[in-house]
Amino acid sequence: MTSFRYPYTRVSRPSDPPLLQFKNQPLLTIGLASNSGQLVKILSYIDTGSQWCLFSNQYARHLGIKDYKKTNESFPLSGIGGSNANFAYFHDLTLLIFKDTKRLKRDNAIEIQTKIGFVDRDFGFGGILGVYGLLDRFKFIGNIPEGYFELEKML
Amino acid sequence: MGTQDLTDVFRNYENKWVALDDNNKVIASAASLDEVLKLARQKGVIDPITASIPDYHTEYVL
Repeated sequence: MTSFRYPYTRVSRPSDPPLLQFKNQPLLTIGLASNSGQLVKILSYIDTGSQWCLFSNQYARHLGIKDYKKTNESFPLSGIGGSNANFAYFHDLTLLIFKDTKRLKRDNAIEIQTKIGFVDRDFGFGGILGVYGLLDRFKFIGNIPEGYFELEKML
Repeated sequence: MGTQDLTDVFRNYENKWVALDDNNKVIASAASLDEVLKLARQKGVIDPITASIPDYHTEYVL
């Protein structure tokens, strides 16, 4: 199996209470591309609990989508923020998983045709990466003590 | 491979949109994605990494 390794992102603030001093976050820069070739690179949060890949609606316009709400596939979202706290509108796009963090180019990426949701309310970071389109294609293996995580491509 | 440290990005750009180069150095920051992309492109970076930096004290329990 082919796997790709990425660093966890550490954020430190020693002046904070101990519980808040250090964070290790599974952030990954991915690309979203439209059929007409528009591309955005987004620092995203891997969320194994999310069923979908969801992004700020501000990205839609930069991918040639004039009205992100204009789609036949839209669903309310529930989660830690509450029931039906947000709404996602799905569009067909290409998700680019860069094979390493050194060269964030399309010819160094695995391309996945999938449904990407744009949400009414932003939730921090550019977006979150969930099951449909990513975690149903890759195994996520975290190794926080050694500071990295891996995505292992499944057949 | 160890962790990458983005403490300065999170500390200095909370609640802002940022554009980063491939080494995670901040090229531009602004209140919206449109604005931050415009600023980055004015500096010659066509496809920067973009992110909306959350409040540092926001905890994600995803």
